[in-house]
Amino acid sequence: MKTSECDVAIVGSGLAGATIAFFLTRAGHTVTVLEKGPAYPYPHIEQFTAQGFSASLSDYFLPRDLKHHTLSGQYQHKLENERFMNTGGSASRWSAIALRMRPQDFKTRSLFGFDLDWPLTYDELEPAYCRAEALLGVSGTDDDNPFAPARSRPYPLPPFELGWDDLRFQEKLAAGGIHMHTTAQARTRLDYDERPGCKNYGRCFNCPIGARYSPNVYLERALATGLCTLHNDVSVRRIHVEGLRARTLVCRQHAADDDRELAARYVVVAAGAIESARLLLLSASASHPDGLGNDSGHVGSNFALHHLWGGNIRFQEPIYGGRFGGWTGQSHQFLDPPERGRHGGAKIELSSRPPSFASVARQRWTSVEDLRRRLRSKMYTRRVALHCETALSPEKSITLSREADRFGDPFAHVHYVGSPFDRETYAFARRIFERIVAASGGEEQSFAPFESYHSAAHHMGTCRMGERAADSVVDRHGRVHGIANLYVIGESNFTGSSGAVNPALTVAALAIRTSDHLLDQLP
Amino acid sequence: MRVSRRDFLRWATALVTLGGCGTGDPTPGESSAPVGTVGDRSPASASPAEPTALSQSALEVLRKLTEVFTGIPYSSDFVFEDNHYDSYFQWWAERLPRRGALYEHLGRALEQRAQESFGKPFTGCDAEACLDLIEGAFGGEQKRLFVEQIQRPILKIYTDTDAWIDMGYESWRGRPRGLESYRQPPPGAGLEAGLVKR
Repeated sequence: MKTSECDVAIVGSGLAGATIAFFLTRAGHTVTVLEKGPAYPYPHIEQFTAQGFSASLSDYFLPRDLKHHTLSGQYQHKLENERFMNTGGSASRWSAIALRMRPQDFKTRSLFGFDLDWPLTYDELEPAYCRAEALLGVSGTDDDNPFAPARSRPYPLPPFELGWDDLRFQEKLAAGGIHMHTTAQARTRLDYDERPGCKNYGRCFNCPIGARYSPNVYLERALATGLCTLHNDVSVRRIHVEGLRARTLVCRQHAADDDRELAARYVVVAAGAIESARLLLLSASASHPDGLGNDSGHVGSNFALHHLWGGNIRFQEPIYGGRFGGWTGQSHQFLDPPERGRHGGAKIELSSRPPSFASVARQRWTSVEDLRRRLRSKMYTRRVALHCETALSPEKSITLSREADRFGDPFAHVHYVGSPFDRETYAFARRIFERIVAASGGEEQSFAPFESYHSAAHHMGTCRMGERAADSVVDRHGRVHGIANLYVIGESNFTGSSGAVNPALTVAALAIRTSDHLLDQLP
Repeated sequence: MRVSRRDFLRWATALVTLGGCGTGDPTPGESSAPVGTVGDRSPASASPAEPTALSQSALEVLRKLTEVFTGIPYSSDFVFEDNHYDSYFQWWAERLPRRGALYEHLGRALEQRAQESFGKPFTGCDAEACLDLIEGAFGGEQKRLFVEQIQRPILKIYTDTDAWIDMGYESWRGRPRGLESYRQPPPGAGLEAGLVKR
């Protein structure tokens, strides 16, 4: 087995990994990034173009015999489709909503009696939030959002104003006591940091010009220093630990016949909540029989998803949704309800989706005129999503599967069942939706049943952060308890769900803190 | 140009039978050329081995078919100002040589049929005649390929693009629409359901 060496090895090139690679290389340190998935060219013009021509992006997909997981319980969607395992990770294709968690979200145990408090407070993380907003190029304002947490610096970019359809909706909802406002997003309202301002192409999941943030932009900058090496299509199979230190990573290039070892002074695992836990569990040894950081049995526990339920409202007049590519309107009014603890908070996403014209063309129409009539009928419906907080449960966990990948390593097994708390939250979300329908003057067309919740691709927990090894996996810097040079960073560190707000900005803020910490450690 | 209800229904039914207006993904047995760029950091190589440009005659037949299936005349600026239908067929022909050969083959078959039946080019026929020619020219596997690789994509492109204009939008997703117009009323706002007249 061949061995090579580096200062810092990072497993995963997504939001957390790319952020750490950027800051470490900027300070002159050498970094090796190991990405299990294929390359994902940036800016994403090729992907944008291919999608425009209805081509599959399968060239950028990790093969199923490396990406699969098994699933039990209740979750009805394909988690595989929510994990974009390629250069840049899941944030290479995302909505770019970049919100701060609220101070209360860090203290749900002491304030509301559920889940666990973080070892960090909002005030401690606030400076890193400011830096994360600067890093991602967040456009926003709190001027119209009375529910926003306090901040020490303004947003780096002005907000995306509400669209024409949102403004009409805002007026109606206000009459019903619901306050709708703009949303912060990692999409450049103006030219910023060598990224162009948004041109509103739409189809933002693959922004063709880099206006919407992708981790790839900072990975490219890290690579440009000459201090960063990126290896795609490499599975990290084990982390070998000797004494209190991680020594080597056992890696397999997917086309190779044998493993290689990479020795590193520091190891950062930033592979998402599911794969990070899996790697710690796979790395069990005589000295760590239950896996790394798992002396207390918490690796893989405390798995949290968000629960997103959508509903459709039909109006008398056309909505003209989809004229802006991203989202402009949200409401944070219900993030922290008075009954929080009995159920969770909810965020309203008033997405300005385009009408589903493509679905009409699949129907049985009889003439061009008939086709156009059916297309028009799609313009009267608006979708509203309720994005909800969840609570931890023993029925939400990651373990190792009995099925194995191409190299014989067990896949992750995901077990997930919604709790009574979650059902209460669903009822709360349902009531909010009914209020929205009544205020908007529309007619309810549909609302998703409880069991159909979607995670919004927000996978959290599994390697939670805490002060003590007895009830957590990593410390407040992401360092694995008991292993001096091994870190796990990302959504996996969350102690539960991130309230009901999108977790990406918090991931970036945590990665910035860990970068600072590593810079203090490195000579 | 008008298409009779009978003829249109015939083709719409074929479309639904075959799964509707779907994607441009390769059909089974058709090799898929990747779409990325060549390089050791990118496994998704873009360049086809032998780029194939569509012939003018094939393109003209495809344009005529676009007229027939969308009801939008060729002269409309909406459709052809940026050649998004042409671009689609060219893009796939360059990446999947067999797809390009199929466009050429089906185009030649329609031309030949038009000459035999009416003594004039396919592009010179009216819409109903075109549908009759299509009906007579293809059967079985060829009809399936025609529907999957030509008719369905034309309608998919239409619903992704020109349908937006027809419904009263100023533009469609995929274009740089800027950050001003989305805050203003769209061109079709306040109009009766007829919306934009071409």
